Amino acid sequence: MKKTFIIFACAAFLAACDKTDSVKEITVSLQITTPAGVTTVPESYHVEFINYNDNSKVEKTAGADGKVAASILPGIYTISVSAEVLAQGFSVIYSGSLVNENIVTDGASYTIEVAVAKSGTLVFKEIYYAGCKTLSGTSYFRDQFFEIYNNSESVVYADGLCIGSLYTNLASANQPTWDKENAADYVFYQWLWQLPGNGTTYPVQPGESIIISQYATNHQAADLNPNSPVNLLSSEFEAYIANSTQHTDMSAINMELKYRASSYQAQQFWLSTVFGPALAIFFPADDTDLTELTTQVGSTAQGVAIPISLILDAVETVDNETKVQLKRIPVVLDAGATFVGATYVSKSVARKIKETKDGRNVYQDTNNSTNDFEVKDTPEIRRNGAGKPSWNTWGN
Amino acid sequence: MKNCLFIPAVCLLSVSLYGQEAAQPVTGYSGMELNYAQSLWFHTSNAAGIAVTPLRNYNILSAQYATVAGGYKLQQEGDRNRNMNFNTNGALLLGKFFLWGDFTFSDSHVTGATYNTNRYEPTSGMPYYVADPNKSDWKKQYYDMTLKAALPIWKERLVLGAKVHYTTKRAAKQLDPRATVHGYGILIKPSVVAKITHRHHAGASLWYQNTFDRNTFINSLTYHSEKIYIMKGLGNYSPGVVGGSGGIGVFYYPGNQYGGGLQYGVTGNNKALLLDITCATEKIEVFETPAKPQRRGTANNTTIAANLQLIRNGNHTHKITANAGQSATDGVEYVQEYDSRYEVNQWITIAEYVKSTYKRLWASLQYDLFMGNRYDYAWKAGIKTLYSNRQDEYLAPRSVFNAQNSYTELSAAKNLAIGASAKILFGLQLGYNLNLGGEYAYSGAEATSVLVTDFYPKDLSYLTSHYGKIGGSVNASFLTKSQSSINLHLAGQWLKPAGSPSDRFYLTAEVAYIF
Repeated sequence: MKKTFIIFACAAFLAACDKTDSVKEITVSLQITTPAGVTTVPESYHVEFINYNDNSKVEKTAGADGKVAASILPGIYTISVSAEVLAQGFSVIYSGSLVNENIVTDGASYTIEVAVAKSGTLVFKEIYYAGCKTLSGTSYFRDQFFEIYNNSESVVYADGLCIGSLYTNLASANQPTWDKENAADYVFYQWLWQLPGNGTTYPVQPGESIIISQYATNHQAADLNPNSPVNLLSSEFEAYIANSTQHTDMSAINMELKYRASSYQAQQFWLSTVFGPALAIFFPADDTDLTELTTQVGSTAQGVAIPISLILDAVETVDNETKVQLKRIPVVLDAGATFVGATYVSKSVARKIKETKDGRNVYQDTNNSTNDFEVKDTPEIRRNGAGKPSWNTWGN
Repeated sequence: MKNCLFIPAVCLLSVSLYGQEAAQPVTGYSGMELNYAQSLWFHTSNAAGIAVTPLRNYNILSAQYATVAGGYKLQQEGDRNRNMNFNTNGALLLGKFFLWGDFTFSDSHVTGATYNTNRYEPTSGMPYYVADPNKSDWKKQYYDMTLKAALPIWKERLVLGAKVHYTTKRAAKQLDPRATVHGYGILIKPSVVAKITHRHHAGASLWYQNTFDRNTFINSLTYHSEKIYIMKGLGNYSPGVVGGSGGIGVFYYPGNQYGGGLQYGVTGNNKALLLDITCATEKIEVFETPAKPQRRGTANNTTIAANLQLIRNGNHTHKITANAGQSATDGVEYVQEYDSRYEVNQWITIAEYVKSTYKRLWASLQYDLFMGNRYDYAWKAGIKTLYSNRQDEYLAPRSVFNAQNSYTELSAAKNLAIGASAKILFGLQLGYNLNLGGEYAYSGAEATSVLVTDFYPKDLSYLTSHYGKIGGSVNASFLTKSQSSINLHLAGQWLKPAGSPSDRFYLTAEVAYIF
């Protein structure tokens, strides 16, 4: 009896010892810095501490000194910093982030050096990746398109522009490690296409768009999918793979396929995942080698490494709100993510209009697609009156 | 297959009971009720104690249909539930061994349940589960097997005993987002009773219980992702989806409970008193995706309870039962990050905190008077009152859910003999619940979610209403031979809250063979 009591008491004691602390708010401080050589400093920064697990967001404003403190609950946070300065007729974007930072220590301090860049010249304006359903209820994804817009006040030549989707195919916490020095300074393409041209062949005027389609045809035709939301015959470019038995070579100009990962070698069309690809565009520098491949550690998968500094615009599209924190694109390029929320739902994401200047729409570009994009129930090319390049003589 | 192994054992037990105590057979529900009322140790955590106050031998084999309908309910309960239950149980004095066994199979169909995607028993108090607002049906089955045994008394001083309890269950939600549920639980509870003097007994029991639930999520519309709420308590949640590339993984709930009890009993001339004090601590962890476990929370529960029984046998039997207890659960959440290094690829726990607490307090007092003889009653009258207090708190951002109630019930039953071989038992219950207060206050980040605007407010309304209850039952027993009977049982209850058009009906029909 005595022994029983002792065992009972010991068990109760052990149970009492297994005590976890109750949660309490902690205070953290943030110092925002600008790169060496940057002389213009914003008067204030907008700072967000976002905990995606709790759906909570604490917003703060930092002054020109870049200092700010916040009281938050311990957790995994994305700290996002943004500011915009108008200078000499164009916007200068200051942006930076810390992503998936575990903040559990009271009094901890963090530093974010913001990147400083002019607002993009060519930007993704609308992305239709989710696909749609056919009349019989099967899935249809051949009508994907990417609209790229000249958001600047100057003509831009699209010649040589590269577009593609980055690793990983799906947004995931499980990101690969690349066998490359300073790998964090690069993005890695699994599909890479390049527009042709001699440098002045394809001018895109301010306010004009170019449409890049997976398959530049009228998808609403009876033999394809009358349920499709788009007719893409007027696309400027398409991702035609030579000798494809899946697509017919249409009037749109064919892009050059520069790279596709080995897992897509047998695929006769460019399917960007309907769950949401990570997309980026860039103009190669003179010394950029689009054929040089980098291998993943512990895998045979390879990708084309492109320096982050070359990227003109990048947009992280993900499955839904649960994947927003699973970043594939570096936060300096896109601090957020956008999504239509489901597959084959005939929806697209489109960039929001920031302002209209002399009849030309200027689209919001804060390098944070969570804020810059919105969902459209029906995809539409050249929405809001975007112009069509004069050299597109086949699209009426 | 495991379930099948137990059935013959219970049947064997049941068959062998026949004729063990032929002088005083249990031949109907009223006799069964009195049999249990008099076996004080049976109601404690100490199985060895059934040697001190043994049940009279009996066996019962029953089939039951039960249906529940009406809108006065918790949101996670069905608008309508239909159950088919098959049960056999029996008590046996086998030589000097005291045995009691029970086997139950239940098949149920729940219609119109909301805010539960993956829990077999959503109202059990586990704060970490998955919810969706789609009104869905559920199909459920469980097997429940229990064996209590007391060894022969050793040197007129000591009795060793044990209880073993095994349950297995499975369920499937019938509307997207869907889930299948599989689970089991096994309890091993050794115990001892020592005879201090002729009138005084002391007992002790220890137990270990292991439980495991595994939930798999799926959509029938595979191209469509269904939004879900990964619940953390009181309206706080993480967003999630079922289906698609980012769909939620398998949830599993391993649980371990350790407990112990101390008993003290005194017997006198036709009187007996028995006190049972128990304490148990249980830890149920919630993980997602076994191959790469991500912690979704842990519920640490400590329950302390006391049970006091007093009985006086004579021309009539008087019994008083008092219960009191407290259950306190800490909800632990984790700060985790995914280490994507090739050689690791796992979720790493950075920190853990108690983020919510759930406290239940209860006390009850019941008096029953059985008028008849020691083995059966002609009349029965009873009164019971129950106080309950629920205090839930999410610590930060602070949210609370409280409900306090006092319930009182009067009951009566009359046993009528119809000739020499039949009797009819009529029962009546009248109850009233007096709500003593309650509130739900939420201050989290998602004040417009349906959890905050619909789920918890409706549950609060249910848990903080005054309501009346009326119930009745009729049982007909037909003696087939001197020691067995066929019983037909019909019972109904109606709950009606004050100031609400909703109500709730309970109807049970059962046929049982007691032998």
